[in-house]
Amino acid sequence: MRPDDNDRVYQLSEMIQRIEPEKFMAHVHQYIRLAGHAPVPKSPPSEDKQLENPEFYFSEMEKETSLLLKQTEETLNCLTDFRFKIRRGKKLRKNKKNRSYFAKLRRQQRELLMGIAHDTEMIRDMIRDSEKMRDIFLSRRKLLELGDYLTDVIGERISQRAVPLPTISPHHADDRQGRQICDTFRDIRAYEEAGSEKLNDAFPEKQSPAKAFGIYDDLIRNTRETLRQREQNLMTQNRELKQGWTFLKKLVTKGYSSQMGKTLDDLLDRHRIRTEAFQRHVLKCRSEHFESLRSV
Amino acid sequence: MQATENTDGKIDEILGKYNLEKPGEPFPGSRGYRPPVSDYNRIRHVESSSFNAQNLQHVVDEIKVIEAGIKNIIASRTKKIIEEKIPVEKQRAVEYSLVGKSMVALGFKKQEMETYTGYEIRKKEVAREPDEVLISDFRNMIEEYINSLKGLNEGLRGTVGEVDSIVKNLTRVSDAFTDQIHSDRRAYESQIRYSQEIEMQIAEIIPLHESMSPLHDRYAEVEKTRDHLEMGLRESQSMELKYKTNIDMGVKYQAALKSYRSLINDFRERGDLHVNMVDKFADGAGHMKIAVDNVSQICSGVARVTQSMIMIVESIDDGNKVLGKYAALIGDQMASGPQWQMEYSALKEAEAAYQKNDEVRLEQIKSNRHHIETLIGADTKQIAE
Repeated sequence: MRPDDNDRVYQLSEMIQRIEPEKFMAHVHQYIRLAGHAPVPKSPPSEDKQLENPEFYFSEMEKETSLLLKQTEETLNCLTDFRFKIRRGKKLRKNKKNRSYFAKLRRQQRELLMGIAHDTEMIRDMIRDSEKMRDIFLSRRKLLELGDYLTDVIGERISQRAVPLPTISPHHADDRQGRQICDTFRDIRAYEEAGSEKLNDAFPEKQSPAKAFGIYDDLIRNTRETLRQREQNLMTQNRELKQGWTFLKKLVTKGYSSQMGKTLDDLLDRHRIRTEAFQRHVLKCRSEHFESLRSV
Repeated sequence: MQATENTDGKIDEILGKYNLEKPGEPFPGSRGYRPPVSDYNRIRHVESSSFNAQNLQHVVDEIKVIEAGIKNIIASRTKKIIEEKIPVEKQRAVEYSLVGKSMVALGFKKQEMETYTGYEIRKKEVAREPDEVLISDFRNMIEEYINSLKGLNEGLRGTVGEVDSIVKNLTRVSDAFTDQIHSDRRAYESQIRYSQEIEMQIAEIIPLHESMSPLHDRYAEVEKTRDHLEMGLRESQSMELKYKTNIDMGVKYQAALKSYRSLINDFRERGDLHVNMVDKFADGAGHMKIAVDNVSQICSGVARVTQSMIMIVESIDDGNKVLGKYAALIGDQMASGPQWQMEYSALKEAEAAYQKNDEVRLEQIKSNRHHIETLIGADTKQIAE
């Protein structure tokens, strides 16, 4: 084995080990917890104010994302230049499976790295989106609740008025002031009659701000579900990346051995199933998209 | 070999496309937003007739209805505070004589306590009867009512203004989403086309690569190109999914935003209605305050007039009594005796007095009438001002 090959294997090992989506996910979880997207578990409040601030975790998450994207890209570049060579004068077990497994594993590694980058980016985008939505919905929450409270108070005053408004027949009021009172009373009555349905029936359940925030809550629930799936993907891909690398390393340093056999095949099988699912998903999305355009 | 070169050309072509710039997203312009016109009309047309004395009673009745209503409101909303004197048993030190005091001071005798009945004044809130309500209570209450309405309305008006700006803002955000979705759709479609192109090229290069011997001069190059193409496809497909997710999320967010906005808009309209109405209430209360002043003036005027009417009726009654006596005397006492003479002169005096009284009464009636006229006239004038 040539020294530069050795270096490259060492370098790739280092690079692959450094990819840690766990750290990224930890920040994502902290952000979700503090941004009020998830129920807050009971824990003593931290003394460090920064550790209770969702913005802090948001920016940490952004940092981790760029780090992960950079790492996966560099590793990918490194891996692309990593080729199987017939090396002279070393103790590589001769096996015709060497080359084909090398190709399969390299492909697996490549696709896993891309998958990790993709999922990381998607999770980051989801958090960004929900941050935007959070801003749109929650920054108005207090004001709307205040306004709702005020209108409730007024509504209460109206409904609790002990006696009906006094009536003055218009012909008793031939002066300006008298007419004003008449008009006012009539206006109020007309308002109440016209608006009573709107005021009392339609609003409290159907139109309250609580309902509006319900929409937001649904969005958040939906996002959290997708996020959980993506997180699972990410972690599985990371695990298999490292497993695959162990095999690949053995393959280039020692050559294929029958001991690798079943575990290696299982690993590659899992990846094949995932790749096929990915392709199916891509095709499904395309047909869905054109379907929806046709229906529009 | 020729095939390889062809592929090389294709590779260059394909790789060149990686760096194609994506079209920029246009910034959505804000559309002229107009709040919906309030359906709350203010048509003011009231038929009027002259305000004459005949209608006085109707007005008084009306006033009574108003006053009763007002008093009911006040009585139901306010409490009367009364003071009660309640007997309480208390303890105090027994007062001793000078000798006793010194004995206590020296400790020879124990200070004893005695029980006595004292009184405590307690304030108690009692419900008010409508009859107990004074008109000044009403005036104060109306003032408080107006103030609280005004305060309430200021807050509400501010809120409605804010909500209005939220609605506008949401409209902008929603428009931005629409534009975003459109541009995402376009990007998605071109991404698909791009992926399909790479797919075709991969389909070409795979048999070429597989048929080559690893010992071939250009094997490594072809393999590298295949790698690149496969990676490019994978990345392009990831981009497709990204656009698709963006579109799906965008549509979902937009729907949510739309219903959110319509909720807030309804809420704002309701707030608008409330503000409008509270203004009317404050107006009405203000008018009522003035009306109550007028009403109480009319009431006291009417009361005074009624009082003098009663006096007149009573004096007429008195006069009838005198006249009756006079008639009786004329009938019975036809004899011209000194007794009659006496009675007669007494009657004459009484008659004179009656006639004099009559003049006074006439004066009174006249002045009463005049008073009523000025009262109502002044009132009408005052109101008209």
